[in-house]
Amino acid sequence: MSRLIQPEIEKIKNQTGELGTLIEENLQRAIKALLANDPDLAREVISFDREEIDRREIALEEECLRIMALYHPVAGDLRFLVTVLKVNGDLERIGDLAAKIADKVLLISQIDTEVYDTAGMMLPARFLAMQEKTVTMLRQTLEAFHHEDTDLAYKVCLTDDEVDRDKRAIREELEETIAQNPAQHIYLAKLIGVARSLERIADHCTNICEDVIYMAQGRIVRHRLI
Amino acid sequence: MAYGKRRLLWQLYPALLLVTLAALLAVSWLAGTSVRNFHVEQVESDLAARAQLLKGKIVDLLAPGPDDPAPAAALPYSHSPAQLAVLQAYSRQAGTASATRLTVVAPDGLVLADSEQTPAEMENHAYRPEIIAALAGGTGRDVRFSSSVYYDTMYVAIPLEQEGQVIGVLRTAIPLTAVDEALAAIYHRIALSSLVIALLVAVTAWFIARRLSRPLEEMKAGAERFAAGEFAGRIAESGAEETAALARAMNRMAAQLDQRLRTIDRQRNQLQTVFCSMVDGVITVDGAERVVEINQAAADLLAVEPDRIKDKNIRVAIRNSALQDLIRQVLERGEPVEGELTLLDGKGGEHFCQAHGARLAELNEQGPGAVLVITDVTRLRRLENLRRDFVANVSHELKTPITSIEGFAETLLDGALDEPEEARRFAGIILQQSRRLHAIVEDLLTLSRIEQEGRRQGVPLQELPLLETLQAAVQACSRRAADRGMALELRGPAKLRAWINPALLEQALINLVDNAVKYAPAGSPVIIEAEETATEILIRVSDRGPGIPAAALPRIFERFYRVDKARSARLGGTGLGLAIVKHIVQVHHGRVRVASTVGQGSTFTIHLPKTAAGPLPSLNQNLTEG
Repeated sequence: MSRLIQPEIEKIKNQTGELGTLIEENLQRAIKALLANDPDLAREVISFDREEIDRREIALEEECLRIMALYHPVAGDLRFLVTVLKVNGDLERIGDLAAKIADKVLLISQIDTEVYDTAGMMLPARFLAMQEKTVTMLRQTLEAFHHEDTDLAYKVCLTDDEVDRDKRAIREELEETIAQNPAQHIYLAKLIGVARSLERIADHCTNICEDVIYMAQGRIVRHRLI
Repeated sequence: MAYGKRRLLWQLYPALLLVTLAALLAVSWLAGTSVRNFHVEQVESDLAARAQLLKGKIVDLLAPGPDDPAPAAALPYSHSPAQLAVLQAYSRQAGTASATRLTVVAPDGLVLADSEQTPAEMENHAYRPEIIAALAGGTGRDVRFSSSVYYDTMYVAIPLEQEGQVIGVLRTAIPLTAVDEALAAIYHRIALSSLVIALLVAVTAWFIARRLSRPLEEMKAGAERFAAGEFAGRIAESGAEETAALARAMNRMAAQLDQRLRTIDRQRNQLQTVFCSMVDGVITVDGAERVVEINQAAADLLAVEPDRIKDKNIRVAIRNSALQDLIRQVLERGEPVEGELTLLDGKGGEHFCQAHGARLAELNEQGPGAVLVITDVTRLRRLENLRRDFVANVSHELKTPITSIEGFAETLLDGALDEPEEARRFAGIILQQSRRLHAIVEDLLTLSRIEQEGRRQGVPLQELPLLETLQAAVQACSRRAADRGMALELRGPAKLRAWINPALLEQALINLVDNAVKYAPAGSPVIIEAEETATEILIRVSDRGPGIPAAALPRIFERFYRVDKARSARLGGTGLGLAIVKHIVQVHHGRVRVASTVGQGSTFTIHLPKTAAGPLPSLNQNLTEG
């Protein structure tokens, strides 16, 4: 082969890194919009996801397919490209979920605050912990991917259970609050939606980490207890 | 010495050997030739002498006897066979005796006698060069290959004269074997000695090569040491002038290199120290956008591990799109850029940063790189916001009561004075608003007084029983608490003493307890606790109020900051209470912390150091410390 595949792989790596960065930042903006109840920021998040992230996802996928067609990569390179294709899909879903959170922020901002007591609009403390955990998970996932750090990937997979527990606890707590004070259900239902989105982001992170383990070790750890 | 190159010995030896052998050959050739010439001359004169010795006898034998009838002048003279036989016998005898070949030749070239051959079988000798010369009257000589003895032979011929008439030629001949044998022996010896000399030359060459190469080897070892970075040892400046000069030059070079390297090392260390201890974050990337260096400050700001991201692409290493864009701009445009970044530290904290990027010329083989300096301006930004907010707040806080007073005073003047009932109510409102105004100004003055005293000479502190001060504060608030049916519980060891300014601390506690009384639901208790730890004295004020949302916690000690604006104003707060608490605690060298759970209550804790010592924190920075 006259041309070298390594520079192309390197390019893909950078492109994936950039996409990950944008998605992470978008998620953090979405959470910030939720905490600050900032509908403008939320709108920004949604449009950024539609315009920039989706476009980049498609570009990255095409680039991967192009390299596969042109170079017929084998072994590590092939595993890397296949992993990027999968990770790309997961990342894009994470981006969509961030947009979904922003969407919920828009809906919450449209609720007539006069009807509800402002004190009730406080986010439960557990919620903060959960979103923090999710963002950390995403950060660590991207780091594990970039540095091919399987230890970190395994660790992230284990954190997923915590996020699941948090989500369950939040749902139960909010449902209880709704039972006590049904007037707030519109608002709280949205919060449950946000919690679900966060939990699913964590799931996608787990998927990516499993792919990272596959990429580094060539071992498929999906559908298995780690 | 590099492989594939001959050693010095093998370069010296052939040349030396060649020269020596050439000299030897030239000498032996010269010697051989002169010896041979000398020998040939010797032989020649010897032969001539022998011929002269024999000449008389041969002439006698050859001359026609007196009994011979033939006239002497008749030529060719023919000899009688008897005469010839005598001559032949004599030749043989004389030839054997003198180890010389003798030949007698008649003037016509006919061989008359020969000591080694039969004359009759021999060819005519008239044209032999020596014979021709002898017949002409001189001594003829010639050296040539003899077909009869198969060897180079020297012939010397002399004329045989009788009464002035040549009657024949006597030729003596001797083969030159002896000469050649002698010469061969000489040459043989010369060849033998050549071998010995070749050996000698080899040994000499080896010694010379050793002498020449030993300093060179030493220099090689020294140069290799220098190359490895060991500059401690020096090369011995011995041997010939040239090698010594080379060693001196190399030593000088090593010394200079050493000095330069040290300088470079020192400068690098200095730069590294500056780089590492910089408060601003610095990142350098090469032309391929790979991280070359990142200092600790930048790593902290960006929440990355420096070792882990070195040599990684910036897009993979540092996940911040604004920063990536800046670096791309620098690399593409090559001119300095400036930008603002918002960095999230993963814990929900935000850092506002200013970044300056510039091109780094020829960082490595990837071409020019970029350097990015990141300054954390979060504090500055917050300070700016605080000042702006403060001015706006003061104006707003002062304006509200003034507007109110103004409005009611106008209403009074517009005719409400005539209605005593109304006028009385309005005057009451004006009084109330004036008091509020008074309270605000009072609080502002208190604040600035504490600040100024703290800045100028420090507030005088005394070691006093703490509980008394707490008691006084509780006393001051007890009436209001009683109005709301709330119990103020004071707990703490009676012996506890602390370095305090009682008036100020009482004020701070009154503010805290008053807040608790104001905001907590009626009938709930407020607990004031004093406690002593290993290094600090803690004063805790806890209530069962509505709590403070987490987002508001960092800001509640700011001036005029209110969690719930409407409620605070209704309850008569100035928005300065907690700011005053903070300043009072600061002049006590302590700190104040708050912990709160929404819906469950808040706890304010004042930490006072046990000793009065300790520098006063600069109050200029108070505004920025949340």
